[in-house]
Amino acid sequence: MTRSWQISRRTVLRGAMGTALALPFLDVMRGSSAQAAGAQVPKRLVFCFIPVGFRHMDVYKPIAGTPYMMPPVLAPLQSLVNKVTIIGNLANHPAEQGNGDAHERGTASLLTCQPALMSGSTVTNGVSVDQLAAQHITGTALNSLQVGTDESEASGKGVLSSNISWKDQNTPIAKETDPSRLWSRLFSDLSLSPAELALRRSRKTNVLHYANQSAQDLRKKLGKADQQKLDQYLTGIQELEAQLAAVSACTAPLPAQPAAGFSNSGDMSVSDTTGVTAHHDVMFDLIAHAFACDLTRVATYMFVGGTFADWGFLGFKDEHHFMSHFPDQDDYVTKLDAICNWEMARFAKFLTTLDSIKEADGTTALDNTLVVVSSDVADGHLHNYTNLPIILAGGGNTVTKAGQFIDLPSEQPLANLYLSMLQFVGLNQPTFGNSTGPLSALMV
Amino acid sequence: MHRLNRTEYSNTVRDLLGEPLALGATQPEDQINQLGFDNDGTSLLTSSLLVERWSDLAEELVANAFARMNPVAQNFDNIVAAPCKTLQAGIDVCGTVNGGYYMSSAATGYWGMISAVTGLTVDQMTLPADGVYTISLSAFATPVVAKSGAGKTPAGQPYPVTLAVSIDGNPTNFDITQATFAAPKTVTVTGSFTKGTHALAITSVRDAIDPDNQDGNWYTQTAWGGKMSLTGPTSVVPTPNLLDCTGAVDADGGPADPTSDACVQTVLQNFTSRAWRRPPTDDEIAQLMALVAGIQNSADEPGDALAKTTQGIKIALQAALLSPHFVYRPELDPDPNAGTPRLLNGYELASRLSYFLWSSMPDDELFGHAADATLTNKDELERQVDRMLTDPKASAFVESFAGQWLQLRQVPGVSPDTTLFPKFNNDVRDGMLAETQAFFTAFLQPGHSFPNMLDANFTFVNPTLAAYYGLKPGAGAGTTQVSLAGSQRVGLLSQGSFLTLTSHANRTSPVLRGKFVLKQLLCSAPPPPPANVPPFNEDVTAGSVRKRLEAHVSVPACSACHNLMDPIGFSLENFDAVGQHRTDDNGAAIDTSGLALSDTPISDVTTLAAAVKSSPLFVPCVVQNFLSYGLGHQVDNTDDSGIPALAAASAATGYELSSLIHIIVKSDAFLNHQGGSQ
Repeated sequence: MTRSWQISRRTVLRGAMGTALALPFLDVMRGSSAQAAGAQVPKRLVFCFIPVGFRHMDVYKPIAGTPYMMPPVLAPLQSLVNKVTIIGNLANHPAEQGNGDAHERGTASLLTCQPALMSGSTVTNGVSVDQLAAQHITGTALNSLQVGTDESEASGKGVLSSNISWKDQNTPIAKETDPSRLWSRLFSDLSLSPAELALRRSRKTNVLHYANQSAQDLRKKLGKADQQKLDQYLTGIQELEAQLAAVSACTAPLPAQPAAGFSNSGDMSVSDTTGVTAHHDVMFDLIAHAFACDLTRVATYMFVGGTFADWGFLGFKDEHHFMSHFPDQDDYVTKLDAICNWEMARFAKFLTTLDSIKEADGTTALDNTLVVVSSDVADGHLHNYTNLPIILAGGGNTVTKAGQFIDLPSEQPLANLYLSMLQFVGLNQPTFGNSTGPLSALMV
Repeated sequence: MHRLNRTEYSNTVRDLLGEPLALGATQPEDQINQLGFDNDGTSLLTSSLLVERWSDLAEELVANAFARMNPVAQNFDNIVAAPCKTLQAGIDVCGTVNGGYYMSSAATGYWGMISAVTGLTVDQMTLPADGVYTISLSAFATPVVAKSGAGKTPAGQPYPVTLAVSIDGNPTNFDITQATFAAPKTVTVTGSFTKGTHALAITSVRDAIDPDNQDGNWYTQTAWGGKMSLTGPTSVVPTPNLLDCTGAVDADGGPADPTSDACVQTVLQNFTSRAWRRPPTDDEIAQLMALVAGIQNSADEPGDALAKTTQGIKIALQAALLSPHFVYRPELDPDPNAGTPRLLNGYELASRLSYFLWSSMPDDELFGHAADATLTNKDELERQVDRMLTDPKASAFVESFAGQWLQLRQVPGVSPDTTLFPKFNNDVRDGMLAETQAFFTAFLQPGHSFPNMLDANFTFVNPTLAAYYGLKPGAGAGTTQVSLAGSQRVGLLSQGSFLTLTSHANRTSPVLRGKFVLKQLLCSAPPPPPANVPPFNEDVTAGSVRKRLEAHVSVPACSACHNLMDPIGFSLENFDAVGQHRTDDNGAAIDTSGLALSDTPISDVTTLAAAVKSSPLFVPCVVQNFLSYGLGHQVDNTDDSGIPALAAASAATGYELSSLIHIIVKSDAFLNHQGGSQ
């Protein structure tokens, strides 16, 4: 059998998305054990984080009508209008009880809906919604993907602000920020010939088995606290072993490996192949490819952080976070809107890609994926967790109010949306965080 | 139990394998504790992504090391013969390269290059592994001497000739004007390159022909290069021969065959005793040998017995590098439930020392003292600490400890608005970082008392920073000590690094400066600001930063903390957002009246330095930072923390930082494993 990706693997193209990683997907036959023949089309969740809120949520409210018109900063979403819902009046009050600065609190609590507390060397939070879903969905090579583009998030480095995924109350999950490494994780084994793959798998299995055994032996000789540390290591090794066993063929075309050297530079034009725009697009595209191969069904994504200032390609070099505090100064309004517009363009491109992937039943991957975008705070200056910016996309017929702007008549916890999203992937969780019930206004 | 953080991982594989690339930086971000240190065993988590990276890194490290053990030496010689013509007496041009732009002399092996062609690919380099490679070639120029001086070059002087060596389009330029055919110049480019194919181009960089070049021919004003070669991968720290089994013998007492168990066992013994920073047990070696045997006996593995053995050793080395004994520094608890402290053995102590002062593994001398149990002898311990502090690897302590305590790691990322501060540039920024690093390093030497960091009348500047500060530069182009006598500067708090990293891009931030002093120097950080803070008035016509900030924080919820922070920053308003001295703030006079730290009046950097120096919080705070970093665990300043006792011991040594390090190393907390909890 000819394996077309063996050619593309050797053609290392930089991440010019329109060419190298375009997705001419036809019907995709997947090989993971989670997707047995005749089984239902997989349901997936994606949670996206943008830093330091939206400037005055009100100005982003779409213009009423059917189909409604997006305001200019959300204009990149207009072509997808019938698959997008904007939700007003969701709040994440548990963030208020956390410690760290306002952005750290909001980031750490965004997907946990519980306060995140840091004391000395230790941190306590809750399990994040994506991880509940990941624990529920089994059989894919990776139970979830954590993807980002930057190590400094809303307000700089630190355990509270660098991660939105929390495996358990003490364990944030690190995100992958390098396109080439993310590609390797997802596709390097799939791009080997069967003989190469067998040899590699056999060698790696032995190494992992050794590491597992070695850690088990060591564990018996450690104090309690150290045993817990080693348990994190053992979990990692066991997940790698499971991943190795789950590797199987993917008949969807594999993407070419992105070049090394993505820099988050904004100096060059938007069309630059390794700058910050391409970095975002290639990471989103790799998630879409991972879905097409059914390597995972849950992903989190963090946009470039609030401390980013290199907006040369938008015509300025001001720090996003700094400007968010002074929207009434200078021309910061225009610049903040330009950033939001750029973020929405990245997001829209991802949605369009998902919508181009055809499922076995004729729907698209977007129809079977719920993608949500939110932020650590609602307003970058007020640092409030009420009326958070929420853009929900995909979900097909499950979302009853697609193509609408839903301004909830009374404030509801953000956790209610998450309960509904968990239901979408078949997990009927009675409560989550400070939830009071699923967001019935929105979904069947 | 500590896992290796990014810095420690990079430094450890450098010393273990000679790996020149900072591969630890590809680990996911390290977690920091509240003091801001990234070497806290409790804070540092092990995510599954990190374990996956370790698995990949183990593979990369072994592949890179084997590539360095067998470096490539490629000569580039793709000259095509063509009819000869004489360029100069003795130089016949007889060939073309890549389609006619280049010419060569069959007799000499040189090529000539024309100026107008840039980025022309001469050849592809195919590199076997990630690593550091060197490209070298021999070059000379055939410059034209300016006749009248009517052009850019004075009469009688040669037009400059520059040779560019470009890899993947990134040129390195060499001035070769003075190099002649008889006395060519060897130019080298050394850099880090990834595995795979890279484009290599050689270009002669030259302006258009000057009217004063009365010859007018490009080939009489050009660069010539040849005898080009590629070598690598290489490293500064030598890469050990990982297959060496010297000492292993066969049944007859002769040198063991490379495929024999005796040889494999020696190879694994040598490697793990360094990688795991202690001798391996027999069981551990047996488990690794089983991995090798599995490959040796596999019908699926390609190659002969030697190839399979080598592959087996690679797999075993990968396993040793993924092992928890490498990526962590375990200290065993014979009874996991006991929780009683026990004295560290020599190997454990050697690792604590080396990761404290070098952020890396122990060297052979430390291993030697661990093996013969002399390291736990206090006199030997003292000798080793002194030796380690004078070793070049101690720069890792400055980078990691001062980099986090004084936040110097943030200096490379500062980006002041250069339209407002046109004198600031990257050279100034680099000079500021070097200044504070050199200043801290000076205080690590015996004879310096650390509270004098606050009011030292000297600093360290390179010529760029001296000019920027308005100081008389020291001798030479490097960073040297100069006196601050007669300047407006004194001590750490007048250094550009601190003043700039605590400012916004467009203005000073008295709040951030105050917070730095309170948090980093007095260990009494104010809580984060409340929600719903109204905007700061950025309108510069509304008065000085102090005036606008005082209006901003007049709300009681804000003023409680700002009354502690802001006066500290106001007393430094004579220094602008890029550390330059100033006498007014946007035309408004600097007002430093009515300020205090606790109850001590302050009005400028001198009085602020004195107030911090005399604060009862200062010495315990420095001790807390050193102790927490040294133990790799945040120690809070409570009565039973040992900090007051260590502070008293430090006072008895005149507050020398080197003595403080000795005191910490000899403390019970450092010499003992705290069973169960840490």
